[in-house]
Amino acid sequence: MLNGYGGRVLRVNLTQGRVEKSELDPDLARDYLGGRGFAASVLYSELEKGIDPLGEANKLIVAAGPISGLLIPGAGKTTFAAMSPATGGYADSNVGGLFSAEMKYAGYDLIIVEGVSPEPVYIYIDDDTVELRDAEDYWGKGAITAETALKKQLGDDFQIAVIGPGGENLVKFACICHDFGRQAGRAGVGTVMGSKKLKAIAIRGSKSIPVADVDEFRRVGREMYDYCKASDAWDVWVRLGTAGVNVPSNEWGSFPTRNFQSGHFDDMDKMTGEYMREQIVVTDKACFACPCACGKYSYSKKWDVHVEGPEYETAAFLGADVAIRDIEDVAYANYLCDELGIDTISAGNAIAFATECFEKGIIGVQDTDGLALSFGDSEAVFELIKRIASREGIGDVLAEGVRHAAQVFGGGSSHFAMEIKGLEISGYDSRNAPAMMLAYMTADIGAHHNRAWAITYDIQVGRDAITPDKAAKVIELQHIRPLIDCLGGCRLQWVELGMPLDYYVPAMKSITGIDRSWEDLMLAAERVWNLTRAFWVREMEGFGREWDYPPPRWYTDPVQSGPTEGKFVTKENVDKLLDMYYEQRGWTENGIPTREKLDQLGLDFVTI
Amino acid sequence: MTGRLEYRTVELANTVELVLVGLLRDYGPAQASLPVEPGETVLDLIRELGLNPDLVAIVMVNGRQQFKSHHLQPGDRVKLLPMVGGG
Amino acid sequence: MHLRADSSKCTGCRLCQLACSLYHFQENNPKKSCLAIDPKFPDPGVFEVRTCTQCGECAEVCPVEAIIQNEKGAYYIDSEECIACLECVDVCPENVVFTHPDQEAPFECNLCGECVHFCAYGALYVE
Repeated sequence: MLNGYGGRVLRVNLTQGRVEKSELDPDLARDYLGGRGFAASVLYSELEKGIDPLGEANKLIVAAGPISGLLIPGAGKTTFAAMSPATGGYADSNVGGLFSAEMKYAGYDLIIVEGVSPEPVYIYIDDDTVELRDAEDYWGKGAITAETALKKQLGDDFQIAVIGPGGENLVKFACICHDFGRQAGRAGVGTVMGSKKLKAIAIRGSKSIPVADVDEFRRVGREMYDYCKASDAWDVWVRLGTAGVNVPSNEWGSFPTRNFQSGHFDDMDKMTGEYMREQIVVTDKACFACPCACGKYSYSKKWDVHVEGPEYETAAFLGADVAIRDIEDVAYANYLCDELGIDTISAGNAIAFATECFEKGIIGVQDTDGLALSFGDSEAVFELIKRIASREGIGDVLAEGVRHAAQVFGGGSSHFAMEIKGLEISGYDSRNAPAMMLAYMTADIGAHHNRAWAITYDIQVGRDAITPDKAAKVIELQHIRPLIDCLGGCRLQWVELGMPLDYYVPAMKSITGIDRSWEDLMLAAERVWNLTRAFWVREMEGFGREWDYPPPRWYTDPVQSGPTEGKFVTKENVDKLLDMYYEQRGWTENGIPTREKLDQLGLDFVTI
Repeated sequence: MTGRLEYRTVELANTVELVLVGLLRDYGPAQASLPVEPGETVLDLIRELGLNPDLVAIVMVNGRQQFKSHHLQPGDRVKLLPMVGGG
Repeated sequence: MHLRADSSKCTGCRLCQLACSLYHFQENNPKKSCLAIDPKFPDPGVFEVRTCTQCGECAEVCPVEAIIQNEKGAYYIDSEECIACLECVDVCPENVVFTHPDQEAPFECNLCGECVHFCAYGALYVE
């Protein structure tokens, strides 16, 4: 019995139809904590270099953390990880909801899915019973439809992780869907699930999770909860969710508009979190153990659909970035992506890219089977989402991601294919926020904001500054935020409500019985950061600085309009940011972790 | 005497209740009653406080999110939030 | 007096069940809790909360009089006396007499009120 853990690893080999349970290694728990930490460790040590991410040798990792399933505010995240079919590098993506809690109640911290099933299956887990079941009745169904059907068949108390047709059709940005509107969206973790012919994982558990000191744990959990409830920001975040950020992001000039041509959308009246609340929101929907429900479950009368959202990123990419100005139309596009099982960020980014290409004459109706594309045309967006999910015509090209689409379309479009390392950039235009740009450049799954979000820091110290403290800030955030991913938690209690990070120290001690300082926890996070970097170095021939560069639009094209009009970060400054960052990380000038740094972190087995 | 009372009552009525959240408290009062001119916007109020408007992410007036161009009325409850950590 | 719920405020966070398990059983296991959350998704997209109304039907049906009231007036099952016939589970109109493989006897809300504290949205109250 390992305090704070389910105690077991479940390994499912789909090629052989074999299920194996083993005890969780306490050393793994000690050094990598859980969640993203487990994922990085397993992927680095078990994957051979050069495998096909869509083939038998890739592994889908599902990981809970030590706080998953416990009374700690925000203990609702599950990590899904694999080698990414979109980027070829390391990928993890986490999803809110209740899945990781259920894993712990069933007694598992880690599920490793290997091989490829000959026929569509789903994994059925009920405490100690683990079966591979025929998924013929569910294959081809939308993710929401399939989750509904599975719960009806198995029981509402089963938690479901499921892919839609997008994952089945190997769209490179297919997501893993859970709890009627949450997704592990980025870098194609859903694609990997589809490539394994794995439709879903259904899990139920009944066991109690052991903690080292129940009384102390109860006290700490209660204090964390009380802090959240008393926060001055609480009522605001519950009212608006992340859609509350639509307005400030636009005011900062960071709201991606028309494929990042601008950072400001000129028509926000029907795009605010407030308008959304009044117009379509039905229920405030929380993840497991979260006292600040950010989920805005909505019903659109206009389209007669229910959808969780749109949240900020979706408002950015199926809204401003494709110039749709009514959040109710964004909600419909959101619903299509959720049901079809594709990431709203990458899908919107890809559609915006295609639209800019069309408007510039790089592609035409001959490429789109007669569909005219123009910014602001919501019907075209809906149609493209469907074609991407089913891989029809131009949808087949866009389903590969914007980096590939730019190579196919040509015409210099790589200049504005908004991706880094092959992952579509998420919702913050950073041409007037160099620390944020650095965060995107160095995120370890490709361009995603979840590792570090630094716009307020840019504002506080001066947007134009290209100074070492900005690199330091990004590094610090890249340890803090992924640490919470290792624990199985959500960062929004800290980010939105101001809950002190210090709480995680006594929380972890009372849960695991291991006395760790904040610095110890940060060291584990730094360890994982260098391990995921090493994964890229091992996989990518010649990996280094060049892979961290942003798309040329970001260091060449001035922002077209709005408060950041005219701004961009020069190539010279991009290099300067990377110089400062690599130096402070203890990496070479080319961005490779040094032997010294690896050894300092206990990564002596990493030979890159 | 009566004149002064009247004046004071009028003065108190032409105020908004302001709450600053989180790091914004480093730049202004956590809570305050502030006089407001007719037609004054939230942005005007932010500038009067000497706050960098960019640091104010979310504006709530009487429990509803508003743009910074929103015109304030006496008696309004205004809450200004920063965004430290993003999405 | 009993635990009541305004389901329209429920967000499905399960903090109530976590708190119940932690205070009632000193364990981390919402499957051992004394109120039920029923999600209704995707349509209409709401949560329904079921709590014990202290109607007393469980006490009435118990063949060995194992169900008595505590100092708060809440019915509870004396596990020493219980013969696990589960008649109380069947008769409960709200389906809030619970069983669990770990527990010999069924269990039900003892009106401790911890769940009320942990409902950030004010969906739970004792009245």
